[in-house]
Amino acid sequence: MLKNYLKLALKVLLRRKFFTFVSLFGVAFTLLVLLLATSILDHLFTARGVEAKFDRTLVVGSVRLINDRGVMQTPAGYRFLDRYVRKMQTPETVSAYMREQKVASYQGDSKREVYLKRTDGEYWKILDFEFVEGGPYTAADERKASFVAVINESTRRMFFGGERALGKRIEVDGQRFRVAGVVRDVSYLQPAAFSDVWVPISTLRSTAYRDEITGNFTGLLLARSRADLPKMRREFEALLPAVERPKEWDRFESMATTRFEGMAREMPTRSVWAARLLFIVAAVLFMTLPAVNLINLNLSRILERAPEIGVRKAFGASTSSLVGQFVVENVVLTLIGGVIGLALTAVLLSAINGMDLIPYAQMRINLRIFGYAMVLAVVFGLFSGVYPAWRMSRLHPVQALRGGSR
Amino acid sequence: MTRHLLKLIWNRKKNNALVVLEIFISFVVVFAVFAAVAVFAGNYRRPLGFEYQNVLAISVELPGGSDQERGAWFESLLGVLRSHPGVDSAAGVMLEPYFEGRHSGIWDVGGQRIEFDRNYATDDFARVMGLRLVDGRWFGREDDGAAWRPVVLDRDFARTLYGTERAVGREFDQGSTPPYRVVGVIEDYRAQGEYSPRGNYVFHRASPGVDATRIMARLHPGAYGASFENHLLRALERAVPGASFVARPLAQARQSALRTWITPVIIGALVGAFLILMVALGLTGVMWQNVTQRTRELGLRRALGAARGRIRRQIVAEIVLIASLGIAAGIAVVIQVPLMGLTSIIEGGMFAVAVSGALVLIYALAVTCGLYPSWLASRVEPAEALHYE
Repeated sequence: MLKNYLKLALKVLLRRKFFTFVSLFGVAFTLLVLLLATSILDHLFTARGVEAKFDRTLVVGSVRLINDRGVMQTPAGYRFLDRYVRKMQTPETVSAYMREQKVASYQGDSKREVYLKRTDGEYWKILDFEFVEGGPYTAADERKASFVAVINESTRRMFFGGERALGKRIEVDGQRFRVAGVVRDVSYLQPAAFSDVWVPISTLRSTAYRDEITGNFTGLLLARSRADLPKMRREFEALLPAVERPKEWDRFESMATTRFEGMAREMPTRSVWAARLLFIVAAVLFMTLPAVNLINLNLSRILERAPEIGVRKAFGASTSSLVGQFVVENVVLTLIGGVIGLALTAVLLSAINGMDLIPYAQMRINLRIFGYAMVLAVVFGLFSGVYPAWRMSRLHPVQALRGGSR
Repeated sequence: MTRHLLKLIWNRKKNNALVVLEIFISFVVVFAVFAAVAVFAGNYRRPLGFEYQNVLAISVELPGGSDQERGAWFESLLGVLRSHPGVDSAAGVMLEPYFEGRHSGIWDVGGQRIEFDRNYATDDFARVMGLRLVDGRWFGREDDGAAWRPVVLDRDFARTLYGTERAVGREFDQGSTPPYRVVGVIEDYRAQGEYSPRGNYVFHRASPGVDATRIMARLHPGAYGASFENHLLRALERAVPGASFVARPLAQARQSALRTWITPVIIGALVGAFLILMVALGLTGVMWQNVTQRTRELGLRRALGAARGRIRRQIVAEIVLIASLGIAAGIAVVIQVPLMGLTSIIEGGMFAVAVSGALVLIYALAVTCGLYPSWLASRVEPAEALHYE
């Protein structure tokens, strides 16, 4: 029976080739848009790859100093992270890193600009970089202020033309480092990990940073398990009142947040709930458009077949069997569209990656995205098939036989 | 003609309702993307308020000491810099431009809570950073031991506090003695960089070394380099033993800051562009089906002598009308942004730009999607069409 339905659908599709093309391509393209958005979100939010442990990591981004005259909000200082946060009991590991900065790098006569991130040794235990050569520097390197660096593949290509870089020297920000490891490029959208070159914090020309509770640092707190997160948060909040602060300030505040909470706090609405609501509204609005688009496409495709439906009705087909037929057909077509859309998305993503709009963003189709694609195709196929099928099944046979109307 | 077309559209209301819905959402999405781009472009074109080229930002950590000692140390550092070859001028500040941190405050003025950002700077800061004074003067010797605490407002803040009246010379009291006195007004100062929105900004006169702990040094063009920086830092270290320094050209800080602002807009625009392409395909499909289903009606018109051109115009006019309905609903929604007083998100001018941009794009989309189906409609053979009846 199903085979017959599909045969019929195919015949009708072949009747008007250009229309079929627009319709099928429309379905594929709609799924492409959904997949593109999914890939970007997936790339942004899911703990995976280098940020595999981020589902049990809290980020300390900014600190606030408060008095009766106002509020000073700045990134955290090293002293705060090192003296207080590092002493916490709950976290498995605590890391502090200095936010990446674009710095000049001289190689021979040519000047190049690279992002430089200064980190401690623990940083490499929280983030799972994929090393292609060598390995990370350690907490001991950080203590001894060894001039060692980890660079990414792009930097290796730029400086050494793809040869092995291990043990070679590079000059960055006016300092010379020995390359200890080479990692794969990490996307700009993974802010904790992103950089071109990583070196120990202690190689800074001065030790000024050690005395500052405000500064240019971010802290990462890795919990032993997800269940420990609330406990870790409580311990973090409990240590804040004891933090020594400059005398003109009355209060010191900070927050250990997940990535999403951190982003929400930077939005104008400030509150996590407002951000979540905004996000959901945007997502619903965003999902409605493809859904309506699919319904429109399917409606026009199914209405094409009014005469055929008329015949079936005249010969006594029940409403439910007609609805079933169209829904099944629709799901199958949407799935085909989904596969085409998936292929198009892969091409498109590699083009976007190649354009370098977002540094080192390597958005790819992976197994999970493929799964999303299939689920989306089935859900949207069902959803967008039911309404047209219901409309169709209510056609009066006489009218339908005449070629349908309104 | 329009009324007749509306009637035709009403006759097919079930199909058209979905198209109207689709146009409505597309309009809102396009508006959102255009609004973001308009706001960013508008901000970018507005004066920055300072000159970032050839400025070196040096953060200073002094080795403890009383306020007086710190002041003396800081002044001697500034002195070393001013006499250093390649350095034009130097000043102290609390928060340098493009720094992620901010120092915000709230003043109650006439029962109104006014939020602002503040900063502390020394007497030479205006010259080093190339601030443009609109009225009055920057801080100077005449403020030493004065019966007021001098502040310099940026143009936005002066407007917020005093409207069109002159701000310079005004004194006000925020629970502090002596009171504040406005000594000057500068061009809008946007510490977070080119893409940041406008806001109220006030400079206080800094006590060097106490609330100004960063040095901004203006260098001769081309002077900066790794050896220059090393040489400079060594000289500073000799001047105040035990102090430590981190130097960084402001232009580098600027690049990282701009990237942070612009990335979300790039992603939004990318997704928006694909959504619109998708809608274009969908609309073409719908209009097509619309036309093929109405073969009889269109054939009848042809048989009664309507020219091909008129049929084409009818179809295009129909889709434009349908689009207008969706756009009207869309405008009704997005107009809530200024109506609800959310002008801090997007200003009137930018709003108008975003709305008209979205209008043009959606109409262009509707007409483009109607072109091929309308051509098809004009090809309907009267004989074939009437054969149905």
